[in-house]
Amino acid sequence: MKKIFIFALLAALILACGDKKESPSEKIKRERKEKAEKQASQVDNGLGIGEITEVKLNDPLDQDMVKRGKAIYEMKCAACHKLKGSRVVGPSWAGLTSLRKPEWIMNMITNVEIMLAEDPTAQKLLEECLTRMPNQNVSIGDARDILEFMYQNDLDNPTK
Amino acid sequence: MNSRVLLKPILTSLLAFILAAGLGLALRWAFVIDMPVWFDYKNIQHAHSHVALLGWLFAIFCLCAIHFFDLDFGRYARLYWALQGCVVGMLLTFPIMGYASLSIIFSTAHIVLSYFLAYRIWKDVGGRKKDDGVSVLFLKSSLFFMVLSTLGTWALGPIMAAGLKGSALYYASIQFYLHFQFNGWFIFAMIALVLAIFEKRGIAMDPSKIKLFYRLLLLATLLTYALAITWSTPYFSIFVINSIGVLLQLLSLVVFMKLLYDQRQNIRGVFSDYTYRMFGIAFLALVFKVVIQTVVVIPALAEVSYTIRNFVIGFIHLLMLACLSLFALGCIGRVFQRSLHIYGTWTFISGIVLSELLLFVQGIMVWQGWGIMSNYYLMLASASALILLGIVLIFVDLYGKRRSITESSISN
Repeated sequence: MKKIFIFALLAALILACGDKKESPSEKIKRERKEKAEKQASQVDNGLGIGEITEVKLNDPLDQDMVKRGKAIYEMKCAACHKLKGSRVVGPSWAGLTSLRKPEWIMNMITNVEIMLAEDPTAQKLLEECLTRMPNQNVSIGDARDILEFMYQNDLDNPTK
Repeated sequence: MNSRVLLKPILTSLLAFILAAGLGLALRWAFVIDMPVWFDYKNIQHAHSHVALLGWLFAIFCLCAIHFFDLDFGRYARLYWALQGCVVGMLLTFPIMGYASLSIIFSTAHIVLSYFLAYRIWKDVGGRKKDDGVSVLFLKSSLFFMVLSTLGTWALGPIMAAGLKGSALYYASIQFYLHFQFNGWFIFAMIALVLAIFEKRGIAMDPSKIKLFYRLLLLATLLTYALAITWSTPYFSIFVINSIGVLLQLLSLVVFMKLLYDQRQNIRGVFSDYTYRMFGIAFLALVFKVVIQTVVVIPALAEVSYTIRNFVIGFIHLLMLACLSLFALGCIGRVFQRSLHIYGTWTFISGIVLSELLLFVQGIMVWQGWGIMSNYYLMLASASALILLGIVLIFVDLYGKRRSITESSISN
């Protein structure tokens, strides 16, 4: 039984490395080159990829939005993101609003899969965290509330 | 089989469990306070999962297989200690460096050594009397899955080298390993151990029903890997494959319950109160697991099950703690023919129940938009503390009684 299994495994490996027009490693190299060229041609403007192209910020912050945003944070975000201190599952939100543009943040929340697939900053974070942020199905209005809460959080917990 | 020679190995596996529980508590504590700078959550999580899975569950299931299938531990001693040595290596390297050269060396060494162990058990347990019963079939299948699962870990090397870290294939490989470890190796081993005990006590089960149970479960185990794929590749056809697997799994459970029910009088007499209770709770947890998997066949619920972290963590620990670990404690009781520390056991179980309730209830609250419980993270950490305390009490009690255990010659 074991011999059959080993034989089958070897056969599968040999078949997988079969004679094709473009070998798998060549294909991967070509795709990587194309991807790098595509990314170089796109100017990373830090806005992220998604529906959000411009966010109007409030000064002073809208406290109703902050309250709603906090409630959503506690339910959908707190399991992975802390408000201050270091990263747990996902990055901490300390100083987030100074670090990232508001458009990026909202695109990250509302367009997670595309961001993880194509945005260079998101991909760098993914390499550090190794856990893929799941799509929490947050509406744009809710994401805006979360963003307001983030601004409040950075006021409450200023990073040195 | 003389149980006294298993005392030290079993104590070390319990020690690994304590360490894993301690790391788990630290992980939960990270949500309550700001941890010091050197506390890297990801790295500590790696240490926690590796020590728990390899230092505790892997070790204790191997030791129980050796005991309940009447193997000679002397033939496995060096392998066992080498394997635990690798776990120590992982315990020391993961928290500091995460997945890096040294920690990878230790985890790879563990895999390679496990192949030798699996091979030796396979050889030692096979080719004996013709009427060896289906327990051996389940044990061999569990070893097959143990080895098969490691294909997932080997695949990670080339996948990362191809720059595909974090890709769908990357996660599919990890899930391959986890799925066949949990649902293949451990579940089949658990059933094998139970059947071995039955066979030794002359409890005869309907051979055609057992064969049916085996085939259903085997196929189900293979097919239900599909769920892990749907996360990245949510094609309808893949959901269907998983659904078929889940249905087969449900059927297999029904067949198994019928098998047990037919022999219920005899079965009760085979186990001590302690072991019977532990096995009973473990079985209940297994039923929950199957029910949850059945419910998650609905694609909308499947999505919920992996977007809400509570459910992911809750489900894993339902299997690891409520099912497999409680089962293992029941086995240890049987090996040494005594109840383990009763307060420790109940503290342990309370911790698990509290943790699971918090996770699932809060998960549902998140799903329905009902907000978060006050002091949720503190309560969760407290549940972890109970789990740790329980295992510590059990360990200390067993360690304290080691003289009386080694002094009496115990047979199975």
